[in-house]
Parts: sequence; C-alpha cells; structure tokens
Amino acid sequence: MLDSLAPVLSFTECRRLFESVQRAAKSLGVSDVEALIAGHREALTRFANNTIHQNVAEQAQWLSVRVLLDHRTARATTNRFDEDSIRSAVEQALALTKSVAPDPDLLSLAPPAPIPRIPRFDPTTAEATPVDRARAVSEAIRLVESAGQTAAGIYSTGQAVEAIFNSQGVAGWHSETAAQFSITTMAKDSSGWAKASTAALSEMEPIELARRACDKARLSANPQELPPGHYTVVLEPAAVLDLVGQMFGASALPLCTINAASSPIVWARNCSATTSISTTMSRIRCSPELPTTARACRGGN
Amino acid sequence: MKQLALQALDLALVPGVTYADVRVIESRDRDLSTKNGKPGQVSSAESAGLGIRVLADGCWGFAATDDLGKAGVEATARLAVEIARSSALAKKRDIVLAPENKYEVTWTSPCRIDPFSVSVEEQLALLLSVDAELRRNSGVTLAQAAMVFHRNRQIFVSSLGSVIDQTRTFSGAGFEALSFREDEIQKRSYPNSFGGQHQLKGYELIQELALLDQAPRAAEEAVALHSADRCPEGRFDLILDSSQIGLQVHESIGHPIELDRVLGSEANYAGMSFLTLDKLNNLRYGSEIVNAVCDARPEHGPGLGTFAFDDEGVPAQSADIIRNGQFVGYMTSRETAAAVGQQRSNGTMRATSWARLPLIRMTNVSLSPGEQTLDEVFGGVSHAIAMETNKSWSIDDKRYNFQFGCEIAWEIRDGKRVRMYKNPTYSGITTEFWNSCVAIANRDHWTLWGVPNCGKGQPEQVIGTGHGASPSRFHNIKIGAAYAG
Repeated sequence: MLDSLAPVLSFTECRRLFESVQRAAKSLGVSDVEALIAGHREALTRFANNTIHQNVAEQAQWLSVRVLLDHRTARATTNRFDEDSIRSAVEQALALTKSVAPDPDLLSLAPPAPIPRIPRFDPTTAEATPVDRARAVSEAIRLVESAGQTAAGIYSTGQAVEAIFNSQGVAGWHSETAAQFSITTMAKDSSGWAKASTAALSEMEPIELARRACDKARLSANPQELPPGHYTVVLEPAAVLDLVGQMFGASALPLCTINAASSPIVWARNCSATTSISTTMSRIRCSPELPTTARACRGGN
Repeated sequence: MKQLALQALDLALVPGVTYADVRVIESRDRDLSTKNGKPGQVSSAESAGLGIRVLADGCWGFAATDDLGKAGVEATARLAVEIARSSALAKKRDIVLAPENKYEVTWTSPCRIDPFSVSVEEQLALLLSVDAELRRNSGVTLAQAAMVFHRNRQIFVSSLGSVIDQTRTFSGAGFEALSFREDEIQKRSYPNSFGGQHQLKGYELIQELALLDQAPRAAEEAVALHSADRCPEGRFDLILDSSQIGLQVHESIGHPIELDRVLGSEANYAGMSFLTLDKLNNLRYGSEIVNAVCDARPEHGPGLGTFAFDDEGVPAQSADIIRNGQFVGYMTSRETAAAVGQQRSNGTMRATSWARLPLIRMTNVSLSPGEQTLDEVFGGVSHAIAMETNKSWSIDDKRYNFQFGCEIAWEIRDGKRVRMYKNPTYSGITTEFWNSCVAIANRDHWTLWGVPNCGKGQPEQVIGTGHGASPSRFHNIKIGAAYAG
C-alpha cells in the first residue's frame, strides 16, 4: 500500500520477519543468522524549463539474510516477504555459505549493545503529497521566471526504515524522513544553484533556495575568462561536501558531515595548496547523532 | 506476470488518462568477488515489482511498488494518476508523443550457458585461481577478482495494446592487480577497469575472457609501473586501446546526443549538452573517418544496451549519429522526438528497474570500425604515445571539455613499444579531439565493451551501456597536464 500515514515497516513487523528467518534457519540446522530489513516510500517531483517534467513515487522493501557457518558467510536478498520466499532466501544464503572457503579472520555476529535512538522521523514530511510538492515547485518557478531566468531542479520527500536483527539478540530499528530541494537557475550567460536537505519539512524553504540560486545567477552574469594558474579558492559548504564525497567515498562515510566549524572561510584556509590529506581528514566527523546528518552525503547540507 | 500487468493497466486507464504503460519485472542477481585469497562479496538477490506510467491532463505521473497484491496495485495506479494531475500545477503545454505501433512479442537474449546453472563453487574457484596467480608476483599488494550475473524478465503492456515479454541475461567479470610502494599505488586491470567486461551473454563470456591466462601479465605490469618514467607533458600523437575508446565514446559522444539533456531535462543533475538543436546536420563532429551509431539491435552484438524493445514499447533500431564526421542524429524518446518534430522515437528509453521511470539512455553507442590494420594504427607515425585501460574520467556538464587518465602508457617509435610510462593523462575539447582522429583499426580489433555504471536521472539510475570500439590514433593531443603541477 502507498499510504504514507502508515510506517513502511514497524519494529513489530521487522521482528516478525526475523522470527520467520530464524525458524527457517533452525529447520536447516543454522544457528548463526542475521537479517537486514529495509523499506522506503519516496517521491520526487522534477522540473526543468520552468515546468514539471518528471514526477515519480516508489515503495520498496527488502530482506537480506546472512548466514554464518564454520568461519564462512554469504548473503541472499529478496523483496518478497511471504514465508516461502523468506525460507528460500535462507536456503540460498546457506547454499552460498557452504560454497565459500573458510575465512579464519571472519568476525562472529555482533552481540547486543546499546543502540542510541535518534529521532529523525517527521510526520509532516512522511505525509507530503504530490500536490504539496507541485505547489512549492510552482512558486519557485514563478520566482525564477519573474527574474527572467529558467529553473530546473527537484523536490523530494519520503520516509525509510532500516533494521538489523541477529541470532545473538541484536534488534535495532531506525526510521527517518527526508526532504530535499535543489534548484539550478540559468540566465543568459550565467547560472546559480542551491540545495538543502532536512528530516523535517517545516525547515525546508524552497522559495528561499530559489531566491539564492537566482541571486547567484544574477551576480555571476557577464563572466570573464580566468587564465590558468594557482589561485586561492573559497568553496561554499555544499561544494566542500561534494569534494569530500569524491575524495573519500560517500559509501565509506555513510553519515559524514563537515565539522560544524567549517564555514567557507575556515575550509578555504585549511585547503591551501600545502594542506595534507591527513589535515583534511581531521576535519571530517562521522556523527549520526547530528540532526542535519540525515543522508548528508547525498543531500549536500 | 502478464495478467498482473494487464490488471494494472486497466486500473490506470481512468477518465482523463490519455496514455498508460506498465512494466512488471522479476530479476535475479549473483555477485561474487575475492580479495587476496579470501571470499569477498558472495551474494544473491531476487526482486519483483511493477511501475505504472500515465499521461493525464497532459502531464506524466509514475508510481512503482513491490506490493503486488490487489490493494497495492490499485493504490499504485491511483497514485500515478494523482501525481500526473499534480504536475499540471506547473504545466506549460501538454506532452505529445510521437506515434508508435502495437506489438505482441516474446524475446529472449541468447545465452549459451546459463550462469545460474554453473555452481558457485566453480565460479569462486576460478576467481581464487586468478587471485593466486596475481599474488604469485611478490610485488602485488592487493589482488581482486569479481563476477556478476543478472537476469530480468520484463512484461511491458501499454494502452496502445502492446504486450512485450523480454528476458535478458547479463554476465560480467574482471580482476585487478594493485601494487603499493611508498605513497604510490599502481594498478592493472583485465579486461577492463571498474569491473571488467560485461555483455548480454551467459557464462560463455567468462570462458571467452580467459582470465587466468592474463593474470601474470597484469601483475607484472602493475609492479613495473613503479619503475617507469612519468608520462611526459606536451602534444603528441595518441593511440588509445579499444576499451579507452569505448569510454571516450561514452562520455564525449553518447552523453551529448541524449536529446533530453539537449532539451534541458537534466540541467540540475547530469548536465546539458553542447549539441544544441542548431548543430544537427550542421556540425563537423569528427574527421572523415569517424562514424558512430546508436544501435540496440541484437545484430549489433551482445551489448549491455541490446534489446528487442525499449521500455516504452519502441522496437530496437540503429540510428546514425556521426556519418563521415558529420553530426546527424540524437538519441530520442517518443516525447522528445515529437518535441523536435521527428516522426518517430529511435527507441532509447530505459529504466534500471521496476521502481524507476524510463529515461533516454545510451543503448550501444559505438564507433564504427575503420579500415586500418593494427600495424597501420601503430606504425603509421614515427612517434606516438599509446594508452591503455581507463583509470579516471572527467568531463564538463555540456560534454565538451574532458580529461582522462589511463593505467599504463607506452612510447611508440616506428610502430614498436620502446618504453613504459606511468600516470598517463590526456585532455581535449570533444570536437577538436574527434576531428584529430587519423586512424581507426578494422573490425578484427573491434570489441563491444560494457560500461556497467552509467548514472543519470533523479532519483539516480545506474545502468549498463554498450560501446563498440577499436584502437584508434589521434594527432597532436595534449598529454600529461594533470601531473605537471
């Protein structure tokens, strides 16, 4: 169902799914098993040439089963949650595991440990409708058009759940919402860009972002050719984040964010030509507790 | 699956909807990798779901779900229509589609050896043999090998009356030897970097690649690169191997000919294109010997962009893109073809999964074979630099100004390799570069490469594309600037 008011997957639903996994595993003689369970319900309104041209929504969920057996491990994933499909996934994971050579360095399943609860679910974001997004996009487009510019961008809203359970007793569940608005505005010989991501829709200001992009396009009109050479460069935080993501890999830093002290000026000073990689790295924090870090690597906060 | 697709289509065709299509997809994957003698990724995955696309009130709406029960499909159809109607709040004009016919077709891609019928033990044993062979060279610090297999069956139905059932099987494999010394890492990959070679084939592809035979050479070159001179900076004649030509085609021909980019659809993400509409039939893209096609037909070869029908029910076609150096065609969809006054889409709409909207994507965008032998490509000039296997790529958002890095280079004198170079790079402007093309090897040296990681769209869709290419020579190219400081 695509009813945004209901959670994609509740903790209870996830626990029941893991119970099914455990039943199948036990019947196959497997005692060490882990399940990653995830689901999302996301929608994205895309615009270009001052009109909405693509407008999509998707709901998806998956269960990924990992079996450990005699220092061997492998994984099988399915998006079908009926008993037969779950059993099939466990059988697949077991068959793959038996195909693998033992790895003496393989870590055993993690024991239970306190998992901090990070509130990042905003009902308003979860309940956002296509009309909500389209109205905000229409207003942003009107502002850009009134400045004689052309807009392209996206407005997305959605919610996601991630859960991990294992036979050692780990039972972690997290849900969050995310909204993102990004906009590129194009003038005769210049352009502007702005983007923001947030868990709470009330913090999203599409019109302000459109205005910022418009201002950048206006201020960068009549660009001059810059000869090749060495310059001091000042990057705005979003540009720094993209750079960090490219250098260190967004997948390696799933919840990274730039240190709160990283104003554009501070960052520019620390990114002088003599800055070492280690100096740069020392300014990167991995802090899932920070409210603004929701999907920061993708969101470009 | 067919019944489900038709039910979803019925649900979507409510008053006000002028067109609808549904794709129901079941897919299966197997990913295997090894790293320094140990298993890495060993996994399988299965997925099923459907996506519904509707045109209502002159606007598009799309919704997808993996809840394939009656209520789930009904809700998804309702949502697709609701989304389309909301789009009308920011509508400039109604979407118009180029006409298309109705088709009822079942097609399965050729697959001589079902990769899922080959045991995982056998597949891992091959990867571990390659891994061991690479590490027999003591200078290799890290050996990595991988295989991937993917199969999907898609039922496409549309309000035109089409029912198209396609099953495609893909295979891919490759390895890399990395050598670490002090603060430098050198790498050699086979048969290509970033995952190796990928084609629309079964396990026969893995057998054809002869991975084990190539491991000693790759290991030796990765280690030897540390002692090689850095590639010089300056302007030289440049010879590229076919895999690097494949990526060069992808970035500097394939992307700019996507008509949705040209029309601004990707302005906020993937970028636009220097190939504005005024350039069609009015631009010398390359030299006289440069010919390029966009060809999804099975007779073009088993590429990642090979199919019988695209994801909006248009038959696979071959379209000329560059003919004798002249720019003559874009990749189109039904919507963009109509927008520029063309009579028909050339069939390039593709989606990565049931959850995503079809977009214009490269099918097989290939550089046609030339007439020279390999000896003529290498020996036709007294001095050149030859580069092999991509290591990095960068190109601007209009696909005009680029820089590539390769894993290895060789100084060529009178057609012979005389010296190895490390860290080679070259840069250029798209049209200047292709106009400097002076030799293209013949079909004997032409390979249909698979690029498995092409990204586009929001939400992003990473899809595989095909690129036929043979080794080619370019005159007076800027080389080595990236490491010149």
